[in-house]
Amino acid sequence: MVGVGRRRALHRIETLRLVSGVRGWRTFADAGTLQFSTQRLRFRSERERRRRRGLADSLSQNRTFGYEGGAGRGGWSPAVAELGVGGGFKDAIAEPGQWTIGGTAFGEMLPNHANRVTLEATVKDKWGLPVLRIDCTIGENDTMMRKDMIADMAEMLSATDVRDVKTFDEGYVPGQGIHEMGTARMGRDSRSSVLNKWNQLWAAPNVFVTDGSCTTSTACQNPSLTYMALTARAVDHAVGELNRRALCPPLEARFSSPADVPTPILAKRPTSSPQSSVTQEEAVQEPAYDAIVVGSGISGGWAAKELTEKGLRVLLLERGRNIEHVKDYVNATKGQWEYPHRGGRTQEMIKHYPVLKRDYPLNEKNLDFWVKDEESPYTETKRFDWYRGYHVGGRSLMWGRQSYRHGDIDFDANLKEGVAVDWPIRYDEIAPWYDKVEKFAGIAGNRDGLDVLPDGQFMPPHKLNCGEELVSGKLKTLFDGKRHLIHARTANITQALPGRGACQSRDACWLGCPYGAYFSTQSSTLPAAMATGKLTLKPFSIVSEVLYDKDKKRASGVRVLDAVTNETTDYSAKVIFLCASTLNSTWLLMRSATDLWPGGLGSSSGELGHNLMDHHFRLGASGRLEGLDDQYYYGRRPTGFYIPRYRNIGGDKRDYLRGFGYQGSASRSGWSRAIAEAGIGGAFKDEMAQPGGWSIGGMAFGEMLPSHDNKITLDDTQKDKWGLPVLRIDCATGENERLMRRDMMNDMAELLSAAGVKDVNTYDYGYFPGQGIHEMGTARMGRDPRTSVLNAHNQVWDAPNVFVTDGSAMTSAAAVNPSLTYMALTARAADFAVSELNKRNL
Amino acid sequence: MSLDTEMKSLIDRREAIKRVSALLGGAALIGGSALWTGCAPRDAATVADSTGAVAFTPFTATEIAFLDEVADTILPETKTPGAKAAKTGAFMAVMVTDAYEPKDQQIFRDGMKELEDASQAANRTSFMASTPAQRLSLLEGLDKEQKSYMDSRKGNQPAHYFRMMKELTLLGYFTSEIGVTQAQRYIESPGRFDPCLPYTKGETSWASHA
Repeated sequence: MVGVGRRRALHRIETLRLVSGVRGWRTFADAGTLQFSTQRLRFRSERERRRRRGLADSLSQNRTFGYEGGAGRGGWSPAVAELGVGGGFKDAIAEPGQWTIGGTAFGEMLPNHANRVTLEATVKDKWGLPVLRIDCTIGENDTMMRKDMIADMAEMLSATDVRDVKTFDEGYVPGQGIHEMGTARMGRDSRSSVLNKWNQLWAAPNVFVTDGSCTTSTACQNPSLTYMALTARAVDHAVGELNRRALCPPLEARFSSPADVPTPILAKRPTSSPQSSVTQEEAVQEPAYDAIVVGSGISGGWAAKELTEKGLRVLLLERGRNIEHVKDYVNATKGQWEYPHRGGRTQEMIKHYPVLKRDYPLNEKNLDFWVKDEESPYTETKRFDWYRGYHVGGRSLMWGRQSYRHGDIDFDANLKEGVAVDWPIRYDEIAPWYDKVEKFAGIAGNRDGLDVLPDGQFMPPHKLNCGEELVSGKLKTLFDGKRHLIHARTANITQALPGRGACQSRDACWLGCPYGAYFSTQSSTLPAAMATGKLTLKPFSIVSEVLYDKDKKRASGVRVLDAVTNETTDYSAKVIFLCASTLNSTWLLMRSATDLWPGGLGSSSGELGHNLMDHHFRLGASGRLEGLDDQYYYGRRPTGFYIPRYRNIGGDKRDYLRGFGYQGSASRSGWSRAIAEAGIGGAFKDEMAQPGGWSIGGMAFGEMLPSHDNKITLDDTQKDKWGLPVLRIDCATGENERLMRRDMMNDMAELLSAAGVKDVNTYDYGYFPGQGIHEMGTARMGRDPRTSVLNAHNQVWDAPNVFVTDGSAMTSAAAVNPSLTYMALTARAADFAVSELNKRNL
Repeated sequence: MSLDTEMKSLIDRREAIKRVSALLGGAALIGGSALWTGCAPRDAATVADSTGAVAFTPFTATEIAFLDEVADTILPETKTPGAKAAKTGAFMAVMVTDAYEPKDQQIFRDGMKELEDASQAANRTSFMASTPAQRLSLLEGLDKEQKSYMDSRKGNQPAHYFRMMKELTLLGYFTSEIGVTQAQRYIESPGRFDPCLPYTKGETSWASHA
């Protein structure tokens, strides 16, 4: 502003003050003059006044302009053009100056075909995309209008006794209004416009254009409100058109050969289904998919990935909300102090979560990742703790990530011991699928060469610390070398994978990992499925029923209840994968095809809902390690050690069947040891801020036998938030578990003592089914449709195009964490499903 | 924390668990819904909501200042700031208000008065007017009293108020920003795991993530 003459300075300030009243972002730092509200002065010029001016009538007859302006008192900036320096001058200009008022005109610009944009292929932007060439000038009408735009404001101000009225014209080039409009105008005729009255492209009715490009004329008012209104109106129209199926392409345009055209959608829906209150006419029909996957957790994500990668168009239905990778991990990097209760729980939370409160999942750090008990209740005939994640990714977001294979010791056990029914597969059939899923998911582990725990495709393991190495070494020469303390095998990658970073040793996994370093639907399978372009993911979609065609003996699709709007929609597909988690997949089967089978689809054996299992745990031992006080570790490893099962193996024979493993770690105690110690004061504080002694311990996880009496059924007397009947769960541990638990606790104490650990103490916190969060069974695989729900390929015996590949399929529980096996079963079943589709067997 | 890390925590703090301890991630904070008190496991019927209908009077600024001084006596400034600098009094008030069951809220409130009475009895002056030396001596006595009581108490007997105060002080301080980043060492993203490094006495703990 230095050196600008007084008049120009006033004009500039005048202009910028007014303009900045309109656009607060203008970078003119005169705070005093910006603090008034903009007065919008609008008026329309009258024809009479135009004649008085001698302006032509034919031009700009119905076009016009408005003014935006304001009145204010001058701030410090007029001082630039004033005479004066020094203290008195400074104090004077610190006070508000004179009142001024003014207005800037905004005028309508006529549309002109010659004002256009084209693609400039020879110039590229930063991303290699061709830029626009813009060719636009104002026309004669606009130029003519500008005379009135200046003169009228001066005339108005003078007429109202404003003094020293001055006009200004800073010049204008197109674009400076930042109201660029047009170039894809709406119109009545497809030969002279781009869009119709609903903002649809004439050329493609499912494309809507609702921003400024659609404008057919500019008016003189600021346009954004009109963009809003046009958009809302177009959306309303679009949804209406979707519901009228007016936006679907004709069927024959979408399939490569007539044989691919699916049978008419839901042409023969069972009419007397008691659980469905929606008739075929009321349920909205949607175009067919090749496959529908119900549930987006550990199994569902894999089904979506495998099926889309094999070329199927897949609809992935998730009952809960979306949680976007990284973006929605809202607490991932918070420090403990950032939580009002430092990550703990309040009485209010306890009140609202009668189930979740029973164990660690109720906490204020990732509360939003756990299901709301009040919305999704269930009936407990005996106590069963059911902790669920109803969102995209399911419990793959919060899981413990321990990943071990089943071996033939597990697949053989039922047959050898006369328990339940035989698994219809053996290790050699699933081993290649373990290979595949381990490589994709990224499992860190050590190849230990133990028969009981088949080795896998591993990345380097997370290391054992000094305490663990010490005990591990000692164990090699104890117990005939039969008890092995090995590296845990975990789905936290130690080497980067495409799109995923290596584990940063933060141990905050269950808040979501910003590095994608552990396997989840979000970090791994969903991106792969999306990359194919063949996946449609629909959150808030509760599948309430599998729709079954009794003549074709196939499922035809699913019925979906929108969790937000409560609207019902049917989707059809050639293949359905149920991956809704153990109890929910079975719930869904129980609710389907009930006019044919009262117990539901897959119930003909009488086993649907039965043989519910979990892993029982919450007991073990720990003790102090001496001699390591000059050792510590750096980093927060997200795993520990594992001791594989050694009971009932080889020559060992106990008074119970099966066995258990241990998960544990060694560590130095932290500040919390101070609670139980005597002491207060400065020296105490400093001492407690340092690490305490080493301790090591392990908690046992044991196999639970399948029992027909452990079952779930539908409870029609209680409904969830969406009016759907809940599950009744009746499950208890039995004698085999009781006997096993003695060894589970005592063996660890024996092991630690033998290895030189001091002050070894056992503990047993008690266990209730479900607490393992490994609930399995209720739709078991088997060799015989009379005693199982699924065959060797996870197909429902009664509906071969329905595959169930989550925990419900498990015929026995083994002692190891099950999720890796769910992944392998899913990948294997997806491969089989596609080959069957190609052979036209489905 | 993962289930497995939670188990590590169980093992680390096994001693404290026996006596009811403060664990992050939802376990047996005194006054909270006590899951792991060493008693026989309860079934669904007895894991019940025990919030009473009596309204709880919010802590006043005077009471919070009192708690600040109690906490600052337990964990005073040394080379690192003390509990008062970490606003531990306010945190204690929040936890008693939000996380404690009514019966334990009462014990805590009554305990504040008992502490004041003990100060009068020992030093003929209020706790707030006591010297640091008087305060330290008083609280050392109370600490011995609570430890002896808590070590031998039976499962259903109430907790000692000074154990509550000490537990909340420790929790409030060592999970505060000062406690985590100054009294201990904290790196949000360590980048690697070194399983075995030399340790010199005096080096502080690596604090855990939230």
